[in-house]
Amino acid sequence: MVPSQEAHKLVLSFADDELCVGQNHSWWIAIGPFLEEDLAFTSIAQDELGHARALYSLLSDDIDQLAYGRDHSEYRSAHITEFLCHDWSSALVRHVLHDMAEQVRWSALTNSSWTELGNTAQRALAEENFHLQHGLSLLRRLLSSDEGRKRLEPVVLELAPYGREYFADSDQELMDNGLLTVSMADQERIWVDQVLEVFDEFNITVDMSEETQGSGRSGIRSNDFATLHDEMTAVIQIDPHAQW
Amino acid sequence: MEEFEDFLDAGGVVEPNDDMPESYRNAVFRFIELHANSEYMGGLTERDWIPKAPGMHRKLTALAKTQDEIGHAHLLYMVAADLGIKTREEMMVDLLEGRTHFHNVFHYRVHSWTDQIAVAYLVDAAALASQQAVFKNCSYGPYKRILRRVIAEEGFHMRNGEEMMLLMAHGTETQHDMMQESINRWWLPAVQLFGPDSRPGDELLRWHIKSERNEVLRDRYVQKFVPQLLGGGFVIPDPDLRKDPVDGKWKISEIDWEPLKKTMRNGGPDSARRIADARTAWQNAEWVRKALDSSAQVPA
Repeated sequence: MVPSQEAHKLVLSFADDELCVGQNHSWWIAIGPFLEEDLAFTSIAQDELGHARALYSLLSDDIDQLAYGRDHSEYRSAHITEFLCHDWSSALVRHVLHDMAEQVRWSALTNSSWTELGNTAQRALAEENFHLQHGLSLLRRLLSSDEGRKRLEPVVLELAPYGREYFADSDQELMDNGLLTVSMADQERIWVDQVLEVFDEFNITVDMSEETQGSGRSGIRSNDFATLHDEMTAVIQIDPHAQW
Repeated sequence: MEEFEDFLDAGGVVEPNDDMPESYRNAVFRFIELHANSEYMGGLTERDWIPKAPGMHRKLTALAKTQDEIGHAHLLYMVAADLGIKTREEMMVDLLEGRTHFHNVFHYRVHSWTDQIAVAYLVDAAALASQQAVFKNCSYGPYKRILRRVIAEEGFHMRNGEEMMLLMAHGTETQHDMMQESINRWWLPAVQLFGPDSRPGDELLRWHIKSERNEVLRDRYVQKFVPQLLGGGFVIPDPDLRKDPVDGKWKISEIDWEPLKKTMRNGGPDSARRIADARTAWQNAEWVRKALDSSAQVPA
């Protein structure tokens, strides 16, 4: 039983973020920089899709209908999760920014008054440590090289500001009833500080001062979403009522 | 060599640091390299349809399956590298430059979701049958140990393929038709995976790398899969398919092996695109490998 409309929105935003990122990560299978990385990235893709599934299941018994059957305007995904990132540099940077945000977001839910959501958050958080370990160690090693820095810095500067949209949900009611234990503003602050700190190690100064970029939470989709959605529904749409 | 062959005949198992005749080392290496290349190219064959997999469950299963294939390639390349003939990187470059080979079935394009099912059901089953026959009596220790895991996972893939095939068999008319089209495309390549009849004196058999002749494995496959497909209401794309009235066994048409030879020389229907895609991905990511190598040399 979903406690409220606000709770529904919060979980749907998170689930859609995970769906899009998991879908995007899965594009990289078999074409990563080396086999170990293929294996790691594919595991992360599965985890993210698993999170999406767990979150959708809190909202509906028909997960596929919710995940794949809505009009574009009904999705609430943050634009950063929708970007195709068919360049490995941007896929890696998005992976790190996303998992840093996930850690903050799940942590704000582990003691939720909505018990099922809290339990889901605890399970997901355990996986996040591995994702972050993977993403950050790879990113740090690459940023330590001239070529890595040359390739990654522009991507970091471009993508990082979009990450603020992860925290663009309303939260007053959720805070009041204990569903969320850290406000969106505080979560955003924690995430921004952590991101600035990571890149500060490499003297990369990310400009987070602009207004939140993207408007995914209010139903406006990025340019990449249609491609992503066409891809994820390519087979289902042959016959949406058939069992596949 | 005679002594070595006696050792193998008596069930001897060879480990990487053991003395072994160079011809044996080369034969085992080529065999494992072909297997590793095939697992990797299998992953590339399947990746086209993973983002399109219908529904969350299928997407997760497809990802896990292809991850298994890449994992097999990873293990096999390491086992092959331990033989000291080529490094992992050299094997990858040889594959992407078209100098080495991979199994015929991965030279075709996956055109639809039901092709993906046919790969899991028909192709993985054929690969599994071959691998089981190698595992049974394999004289090279590391390969045998890896095969134990590969076979366990391929078994899952095949059952997953079978479940999806049955769903299509009993699904809508469109689904059944799609599955039939895919069977039309994949039946012959799957049967050809076993290769032409084994040559007399095949050294892979003599050295206990393989344990069964190609034609025996192929026939066993036909006996198992013809009834399954017919049971699903499908037609086998072979006009001369018949049941022998004497021994009651299914007989397929003579196979023309010439096209297979061309395919195996990387001249199959989708070989060029597949190899080019893999090569582009490998080249695009060269900077990552180089940067990691250079940062590994910096003391922490």
